[in-house]
Amino acid sequence: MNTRRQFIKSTLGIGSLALGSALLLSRCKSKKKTSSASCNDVSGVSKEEQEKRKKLGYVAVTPVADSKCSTCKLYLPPAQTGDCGHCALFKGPVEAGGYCTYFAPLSEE
Amino acid sequence: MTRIKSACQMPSATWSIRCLYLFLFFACSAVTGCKNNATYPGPLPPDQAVQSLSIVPGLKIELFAAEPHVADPVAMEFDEDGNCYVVLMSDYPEQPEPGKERGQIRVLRDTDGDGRIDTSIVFADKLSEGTSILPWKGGLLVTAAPEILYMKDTTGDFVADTHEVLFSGFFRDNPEAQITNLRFGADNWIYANNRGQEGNITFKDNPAAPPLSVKGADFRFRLDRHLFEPETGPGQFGQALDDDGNRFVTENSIHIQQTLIPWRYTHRHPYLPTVRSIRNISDHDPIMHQQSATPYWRAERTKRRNAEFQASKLARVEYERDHFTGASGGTYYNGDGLPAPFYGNVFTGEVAGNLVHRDVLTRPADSIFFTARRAPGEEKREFIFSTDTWFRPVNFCSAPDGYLYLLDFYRQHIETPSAIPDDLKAGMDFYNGSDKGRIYRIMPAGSRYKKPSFQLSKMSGDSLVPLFAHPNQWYALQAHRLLVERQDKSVIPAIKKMFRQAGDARARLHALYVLEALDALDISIVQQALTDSSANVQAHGLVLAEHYPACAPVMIALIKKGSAQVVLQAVLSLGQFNNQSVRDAFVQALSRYGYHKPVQMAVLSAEAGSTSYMLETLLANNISDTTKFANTFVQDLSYCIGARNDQAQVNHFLTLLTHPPLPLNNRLAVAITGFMNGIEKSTNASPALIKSIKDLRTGLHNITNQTVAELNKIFTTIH
Repeated sequence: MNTRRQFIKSTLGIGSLALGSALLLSRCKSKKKTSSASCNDVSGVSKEEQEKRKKLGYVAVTPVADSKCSTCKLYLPPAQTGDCGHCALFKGPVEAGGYCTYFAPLSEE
Repeated sequence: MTRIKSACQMPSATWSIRCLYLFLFFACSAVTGCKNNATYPGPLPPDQAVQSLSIVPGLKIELFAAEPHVADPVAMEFDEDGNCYVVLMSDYPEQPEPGKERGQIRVLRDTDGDGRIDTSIVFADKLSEGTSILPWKGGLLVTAAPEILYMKDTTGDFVADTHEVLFSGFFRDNPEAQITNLRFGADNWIYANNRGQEGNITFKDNPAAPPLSVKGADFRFRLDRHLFEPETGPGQFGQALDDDGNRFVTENSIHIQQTLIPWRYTHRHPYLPTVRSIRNISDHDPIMHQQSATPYWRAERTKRRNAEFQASKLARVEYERDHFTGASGGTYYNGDGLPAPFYGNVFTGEVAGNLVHRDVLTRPADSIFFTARRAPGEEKREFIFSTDTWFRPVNFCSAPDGYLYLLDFYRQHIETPSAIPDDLKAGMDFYNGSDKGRIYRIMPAGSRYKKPSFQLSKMSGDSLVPLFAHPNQWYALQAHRLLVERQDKSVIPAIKKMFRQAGDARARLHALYVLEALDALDISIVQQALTDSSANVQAHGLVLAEHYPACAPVMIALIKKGSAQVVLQAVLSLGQFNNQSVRDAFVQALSRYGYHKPVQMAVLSAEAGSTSYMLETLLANNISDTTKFANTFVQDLSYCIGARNDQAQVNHFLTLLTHPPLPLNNRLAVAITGFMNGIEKSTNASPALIKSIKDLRTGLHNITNQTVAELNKIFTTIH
């Protein structure tokens, strides 16, 4: 499998790898969810996207029992534990227990 | 172009540049327009559009109304005199700026009786977020988020001249998910969908009532009693109430769900592990049989989303077509114009698939909920389908002429614009078609339209009562509503006679509830309802018996012999009382239908069914190991006891953990697990207690009698 690490190593060399890894780590670190409040931090999200979140009725805590982002087909779970999830509809962090009016349940066929 | 030409003839460099810009602008517009037309087909005129619709054999579709009389129709109702009102939602999909609202309510008129609208009158103009209407006291109730309004024409010109705000405080940020779908129920309540949106509702006629939270709920109210409360849901756009008062709601991806236990029961106390009481009843989800082409934007968006899912290593696939995603306007048909097999069906539009889906509802005696099935012959096709991608069936109306009417929004695009990537949105005009709309009449293939003639508003109360048994239940419901509005008690003898003698259970149900609205119920009538031959009348009798404790023995008897539907309601209604005979009855109900989760929830929703004394009663009845419900019920009951965290009950519960039947079938483990979960969610448990329970849970591999001892130690120390 051609991993990101192999790609960087083969194209930029080992020196760059250290830098790249450091950048990658620092990015991961900045994405790391440190508390439940961090997934509500939309300071890095554009005004337009924030407006979109509002328009779609996104809330961090679902008002509808058993309908939450983590059970929605548009939810993109965090790549690793501690990160925030995302949504296919709008940019920015998403709480697993959140909700929006576009909720579409994951379904089995 | 004439203006451009004359501008270009102006002899100056400035004008040459301006001319160049103008040409460039129009050239670009033309190209974009061409591209849009190539990608997305244009509209069909009304008479061609109706030809593009394919309906099941034996029925036909006629055009009832079209532009300019109607555009963007989303709801249609007939008042008691047959006047037809339609809500136009032309601001969709964006919210209008204040003062620029284009929503309307129009009166549609067929002056020559040929079955086609030839005149329309604007009843209400500049309506913001109007989505549904309901005739009431000569006017109309209107859902227009964030409000429910009352509008009335007092001068006879079909133009509303009074405008009142009845309810305020509903969510207003998404036109696809707001307060909507007003329906008058046979139980005298008016029901509306709210999609669970948060809001704190105030009512003009009950200013003393504190603002009501409708978070997670739908909504219901009674104008004759100034009552309003949350209702179980949530439904999106589409609410079908059947003749028996069962409620079905539409959600974009789940085309038919049934609400099972009303909100007032699931919120009698705050200790239930879950209050969700809605069920997808379709046996054929999520497939629909689409015949129209997939729009380019949708195919492309789906492709991208699937790529995103794969990149995220998610075992998930989004479908661009053939799966319900735009279900809309589920409506119960109870008219007499279509052949008998269509009676009691639920019709749902699918705006993304350009089709109408039909569900046949069945419920065996041992089932709590209905099953929605495809009709014979519709296993591989839909009730109505079209290849015209502009066909947007959003809603329906079961009408006084007995036929089913279909509202076609008729738009090039229906989608929340913000849900489409910007590059795909380029060239898409979301208002293309906002000047168009069609309403169709569905009738038997060989029939000819005949306009009905009636004026229920002019009829006396006594002459309205026989309409309860009308084969077209539209008349029954209007008569029922008019009698509730009028509050004319002189009709009571006629209604009582109808209740005693009507052969039609639907008529007896209308009579029962009109008596309730007229404060004319007494214990003998309620007892008669409890022993009615119809399970449905029995179930409603149980609701009304909650105010008559003397009826409790009959209610308990119904638990022993009633159908599953009756047993569920008997449990809910007996839950209004709290004594040992009620707990014994609950055990009876659980032994008969305890495998149904709603029956378990019904027991737990009651004070009597959610305490340690319920567990004691259960254990004393020596429930068999093989009973499937036992473990989930024991776990949820223990959760309630933990969440309530009442010291006496906790102590009692802990003594019950050593009861001989508990170690059987792993029940001790589920009881303790449920109890600890409840304690951790308890609002009155101290931080020290919660920490002790969490510490106990950590490192707990097996639950044994030692665990019981540990729990005893914790509660002895902390309580």
